[in-house]
Amino acid sequence: MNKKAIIAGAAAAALLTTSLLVPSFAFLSGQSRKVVNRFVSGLISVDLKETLVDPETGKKIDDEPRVYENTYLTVAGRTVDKDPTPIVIKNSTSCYVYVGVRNEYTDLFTIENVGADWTLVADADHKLGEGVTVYKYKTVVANSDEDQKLSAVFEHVSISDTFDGTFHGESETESAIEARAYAVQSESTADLSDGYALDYFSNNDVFEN
Amino acid sequence: MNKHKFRTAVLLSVILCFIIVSPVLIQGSSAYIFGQSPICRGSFYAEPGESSVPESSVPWSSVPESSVPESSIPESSVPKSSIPESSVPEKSVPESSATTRTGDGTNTLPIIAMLLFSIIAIILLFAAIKRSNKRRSSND
Repeated sequence: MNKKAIIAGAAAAALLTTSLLVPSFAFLSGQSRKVVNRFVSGLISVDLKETLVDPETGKKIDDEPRVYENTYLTVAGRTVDKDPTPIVIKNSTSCYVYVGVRNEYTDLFTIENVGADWTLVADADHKLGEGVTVYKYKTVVANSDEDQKLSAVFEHVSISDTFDGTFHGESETESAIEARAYAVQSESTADLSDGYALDYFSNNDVFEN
Repeated sequence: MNKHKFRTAVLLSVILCFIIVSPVLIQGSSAYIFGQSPICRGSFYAEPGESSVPESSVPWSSVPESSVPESSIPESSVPKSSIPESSVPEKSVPESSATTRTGDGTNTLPIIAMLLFSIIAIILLFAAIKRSNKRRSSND
C-alpha cells in the first residue's frame, strides 16, 4: 500500500467518524445564557507633592498650590518646611503606601517631625543606597472613588549649624533631598509588601528620573 | 552522528529549552500591581558667605529694626534672576510632566521572547520534516 492510499484512507476514516458522531449531538438539547466574568486588571496611581515654600526663607507660602519641587537657600541652623504628602488617586486598587527619601548629606540635613502615621521600614536583607530611608503608611489605603490625600511623611528639614557654605567642602553648592512614593496592592501581599518596597527603593535609579 | 541526527538533536534541544524556560518567563512576567509617583525634590543651594553664619547666632534683637529704613532698599536691588525657577507654582508645569506614572507589573519582553521562540521552533520543525521527506524520497 503506498503513502497516498494511507493518507486517503485516514482522511476517509476521519470524515466517516465525523459524519457519524456529529448527528448524535442533535438530540434535544438546551443551553443557558452564558455567564461572562470580566477580569479587569487593577491599577494603582499615586502622586507625591509638597507645599510651595519661599526659597529665601524656607517657609511655606500657603497650603496650596502643591508642587513637585522646592528650592531652599541653605542657611546654617535654619529649619525649613518640607512636607512630602502622598495622594492615592481615585479608583486605585487597595494598596500599601511607602515613601522613600534620599538625603545625600545626612550630617547636614536632618529630617524632622516624621508623621505619626508613618513608620520606618528596614531589614537586614536589603541594602538601601546612601542616605535612603523608607517609610510605610500605617494602614491599607482602600479603593475609593475619590483621591485620598494621606498625611505628610515629615514636616521639616533642619540644616546643621556647622554648614560652611559648601557641601562637604566641595565646589558643589547644591544638594537635594528627593522623595518618591511607591504603592503595592494590599491583597495577598500582607507579608511581602515591605520586601517589595525595599526591593524597589534598593535601586538607586529610583531617585534619578 | 550524521547531519540529520544533528539537526534533530538541535531542534529537540531548542524545544526542550522552550519548554523549560517558558514557565519561568511567564511567571516572571506576572507581578503584583504597583504604582509609583514622580520624584518630589527639595533642592538646597548655598550662596557663599551668607550661609556660613548660623542663623541663631545673630539675635534678632541686636539689629534694631529702625536702623535699616525700609525705603533704603530699592525694590530693583533684588534681581529677578535670583529667584530659582522651581519656585513657580504648579500650574506653570506642563501637564504632561505632572502625570502620575503607573505600573501594572506586566513585562511584555518575556512574552515577545516566548513568541519568537515558538515561531523559530515551528520553522525549524517544518524545515526538519521537509528535509527528512526529501531524503526519504531520494532514497526511494
